[in-house]
Amino acid sequence: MKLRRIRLENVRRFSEPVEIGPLSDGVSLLCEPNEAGKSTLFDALHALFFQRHTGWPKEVQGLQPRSGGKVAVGCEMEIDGVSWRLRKQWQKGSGGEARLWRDGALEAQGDAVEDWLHARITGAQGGPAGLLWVRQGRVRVDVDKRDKAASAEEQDARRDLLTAISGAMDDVTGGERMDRALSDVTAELAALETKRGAKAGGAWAEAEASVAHWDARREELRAQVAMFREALDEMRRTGVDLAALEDEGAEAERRRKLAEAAMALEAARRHADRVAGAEATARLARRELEAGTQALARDRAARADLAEATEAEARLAAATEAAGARADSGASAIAEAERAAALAGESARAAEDRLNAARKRAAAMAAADTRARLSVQLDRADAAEDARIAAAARAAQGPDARRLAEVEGLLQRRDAQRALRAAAAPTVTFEGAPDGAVTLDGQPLEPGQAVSLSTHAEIGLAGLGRLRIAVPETGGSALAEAEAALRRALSEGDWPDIEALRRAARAAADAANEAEAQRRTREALAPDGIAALREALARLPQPISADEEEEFQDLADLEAAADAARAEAEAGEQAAARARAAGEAARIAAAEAAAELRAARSRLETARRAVAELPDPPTDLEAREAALAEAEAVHDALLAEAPDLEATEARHARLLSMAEQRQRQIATLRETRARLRERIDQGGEAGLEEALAEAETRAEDARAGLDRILFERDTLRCLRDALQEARSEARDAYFAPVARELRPLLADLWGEAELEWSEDTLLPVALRRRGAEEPLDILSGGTQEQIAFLVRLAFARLLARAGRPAPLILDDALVYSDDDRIEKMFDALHRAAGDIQILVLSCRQRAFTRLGAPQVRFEPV
Amino acid sequence: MALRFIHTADLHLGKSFGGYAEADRLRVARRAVVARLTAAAREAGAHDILVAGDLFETPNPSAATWRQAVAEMAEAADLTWWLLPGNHDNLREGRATWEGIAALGHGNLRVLDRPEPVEMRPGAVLLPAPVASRRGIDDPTAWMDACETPPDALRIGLAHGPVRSFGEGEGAEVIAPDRDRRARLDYLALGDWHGMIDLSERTRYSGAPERTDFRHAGPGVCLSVEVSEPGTTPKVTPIQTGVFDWRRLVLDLVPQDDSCARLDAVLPESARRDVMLQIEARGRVPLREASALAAYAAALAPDFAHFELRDAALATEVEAVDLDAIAPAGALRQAGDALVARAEDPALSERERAVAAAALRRLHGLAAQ
Repeated sequence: MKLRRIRLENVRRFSEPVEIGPLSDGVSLLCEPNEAGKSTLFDALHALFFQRHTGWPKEVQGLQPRSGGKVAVGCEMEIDGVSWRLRKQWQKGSGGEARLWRDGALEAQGDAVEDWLHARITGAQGGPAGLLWVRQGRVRVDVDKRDKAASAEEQDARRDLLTAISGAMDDVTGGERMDRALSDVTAELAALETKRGAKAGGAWAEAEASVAHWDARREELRAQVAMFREALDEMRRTGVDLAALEDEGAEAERRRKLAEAAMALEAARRHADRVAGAEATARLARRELEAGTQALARDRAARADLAEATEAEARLAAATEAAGARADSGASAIAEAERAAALAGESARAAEDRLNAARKRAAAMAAADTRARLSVQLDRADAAEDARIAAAARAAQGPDARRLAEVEGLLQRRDAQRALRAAAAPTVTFEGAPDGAVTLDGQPLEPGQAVSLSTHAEIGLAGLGRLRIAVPETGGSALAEAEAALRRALSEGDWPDIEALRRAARAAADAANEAEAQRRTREALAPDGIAALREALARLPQPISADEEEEFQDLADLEAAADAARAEAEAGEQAAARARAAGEAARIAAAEAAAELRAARSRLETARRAVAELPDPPTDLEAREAALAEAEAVHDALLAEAPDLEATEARHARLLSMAEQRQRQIATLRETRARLRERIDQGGEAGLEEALAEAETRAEDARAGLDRILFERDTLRCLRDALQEARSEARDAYFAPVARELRPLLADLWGEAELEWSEDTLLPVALRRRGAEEPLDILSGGTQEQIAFLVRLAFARLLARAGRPAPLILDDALVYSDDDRIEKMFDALHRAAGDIQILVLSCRQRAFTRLGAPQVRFEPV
Repeated sequence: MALRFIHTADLHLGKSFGGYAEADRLRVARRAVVARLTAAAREAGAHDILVAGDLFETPNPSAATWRQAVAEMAEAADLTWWLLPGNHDNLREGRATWEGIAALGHGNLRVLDRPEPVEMRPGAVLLPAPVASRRGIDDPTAWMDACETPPDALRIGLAHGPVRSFGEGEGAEVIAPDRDRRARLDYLALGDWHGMIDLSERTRYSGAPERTDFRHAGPGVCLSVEVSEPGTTPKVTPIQTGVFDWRRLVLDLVPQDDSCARLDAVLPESARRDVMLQIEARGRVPLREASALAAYAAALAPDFAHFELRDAALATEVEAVDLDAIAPAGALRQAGDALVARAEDPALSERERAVAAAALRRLHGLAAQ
């Protein structure tokens, strides 16, 4: 969209129509002194695009001149190559108009114009307005205060300060109005709830508490009223019951029935006494008859018993005699059998003795070979042991290997000393004719022979004299010591020399080897030792004599004879045992028969005494039977006509119990009614039912109140979520792109500079330049103003790049900028003007001459 | 000889009004109704006051409630109070109360706890039909048909219960609507319906002398009844006894209406402090009008004893200008558009749509600030 011409009719100071234009594509400047109408133009243009013609809002009212009349604003514009003319007119009441011409022809009017305009000045996503507005920013704020309240104030101030910046963002995010709406909604919600639920002391919590309180109170009262009404019902029921119990007619009838039952019970008891008397008489007669019958029976039984005892005594006497005879015969058989058994036993023992003797001889003969072998073995072992002892003694006399090694060591030491001595001694070599003219220690020196000199030497030079040579005793003492040690070692064993020592050592080693060989021989012959071998020889059976050898018989025959004798002896013992058992049985049978006979004779005596003591048998049994029959007849007659005593007693007891129970019931009912009366009086006094009705109403009200609070809570949540979501979407859609557009503009002014933005407030919070971060609050008013200006330019560039170029209107936007900086701002304006149309309104006529933009003026129409 | 008496019913003494901010005033006014009935009787030249049931709200009111009322009645010694148990204070549940009243022995208080004729005045017989239990199904006036009275005596029936289903009590269609004719009654004084109704020339509901809710418009009345001779038409005159004027008004609105002006037009101009008002707003208005109406109602409410605007049935029409008032563009506008969509989304529950609509109204209000 590009604006070409703007027209004001009856707007504030312009009571006559004025126009500005034409407006070019890039930057245009309306530079007028104060009070010339720049802000009027700004406000009128804003109303044209953002105030519906049907209303009479304050913003439009503010455009009306004091003389009144219709306010009208119009403009010509170009969109995508098409020319449009727009005109709106406002009037209090219903006189508003809106018209739109396309290429000179009326295109739309009324609400259709508003719809068209709305579509042009808002983005596809409800984005920023198609016209971007910048007004003069506020002066800087005092940022010294740092307390919480000051911080809030500072926040507000910064927002005011950054109005110019936030104006663009406001169009997107809702700006201050969005913040205020969100703040209001959040504050209202915070009064209701916390993250964990209802806020203590808040309306929601109080509504829930009220519901809980009145629900509980209602339930409590319902229970009390139920008890109260139960008491009333119980009172009514008990009244009916008590009246029935206390009814006089019923009481008289109950008493009459009880008296009748008592009389019937008395008669029944008397008749029962008579029946008992007749029953006693019959019982006595029955006992008399039974006694006579029993005496007669006893007499007959005693006599039968006597006869039976007499017969038994005779029979048992005969039996006892026969048993005695059988016992005597048994005793004889026992004696015979025992004798036969003794003879067989003796024969068996003799056979055993012979067998043992034969076995002993056989063992002695078997041991003779072993004895001979062990004797030889023992002799050889003794000889080996003796030889071992002798060899060991020889071995012990000679030097052992260690001693030999020590002496050999001394010998080597001496030889070493000697070699050293020889190596260190000076030598003399004679060079000349072997004529013996030169001698050493008197012995002629042979030419060419090197002679080693010892301690002292004397060289004779024939014809010349003697040369005495003294050789120092280098190493002499060590050799002497070695030789002395060797001599001491040899002398300790009387060895004349080392060879003798070596021979003695070899002899000792040979003797030791022999001793070891003898030891192995002895151990082979006597593994457990010679003593054990000797003991084994001693344990062998003694050899038998020659006579004994002659008596030797076949061992098998003897064993067979012994077995036969043992079998015969065992059979004899068994026969004797059987005889003894049979004899014992016969003796016992005889004793038992004698005992039975004694018992039979005792019983016979008893029977005889019983018969002798019997009384005479009774003779009146028939009379007794007659008496019993008569007594039983009388009893049966009385019993047949007796009343039912148990039934009579039960009826009387029941009636009596009923009477007593009735008295108890009356007493209980009276007590119950007294308690009920008290409870009813208390309930009535307290007005339980009224209280319940009140509680039920209050509970319903509390529930309705809670529902209202919950609806309010949900409403606030819904609104908060909608606001936050809309702002978040707007931020995502515009915030980052604007920041990108802003970056090169900032670079034009400050080089590598960048703005830091608050994620929460969507406001710039700091300027980062030359590696330092400066909070926006401490920047100069000019710098803040320039930042705001550039942000607006960035927004305009963003829209232009998005294919929705929007004119930018700047009303005294740069009032704090110094001359250097303002020129850079002008550069930035011209750089941006390549994409967008910019209308600059300013009163700074001198400074803005450097803008280099075509100027426009208010022109009367 | 002409007989003059006051016909009243449904005093519901002891009723609480917990749901109303002015509950205390409502309770005080209800307690004062005995004095206003006494004054009405004296003004009408009547010596008898027939209470056709439901003298008390509950069968067993608090001792303070019934004793103070009975004492006030007894003090009007020139009047006789004929007290009939109704369904709220029926004989079965409220016997203790009625026995307590009878036991006090006040000569000018007559508890009618039996369905049998009682001589009101010489030449006038009262045929009472006490309610035995809360949920009675038998017509308590049926016995009146066969009840013989002196041939020249006036027959005045007194009963409590519905003639048709009013929805007031808990029973329905208990009393025969032509009982006056069948029982040859010169007047049948009925209670149970809290508004005044003429069922016939001789059968009437007096209504409650102090109204109890919004079902019955206007202040409560009692009836002054004059019967000159048996068989003649009684002369009935309502006398206002109620203090509070209960009103339920319907405000049908269309989008072009100035809703505040429409509301003004239906409101009473005076005595608002005694008016219990319930406004049922219906129809369809723009969002700005709904907001304006709600704000206006909130401003008016303190003038009235009770003021309640019910706008659940009032549909809100969201116009472009309403959304423009929120914001012509940007996130606020987006939020408004989203709320409109939610409020009209058929996939959401009715409550969720209502919540969204309320949120939209709230946003509109916030934007207007």
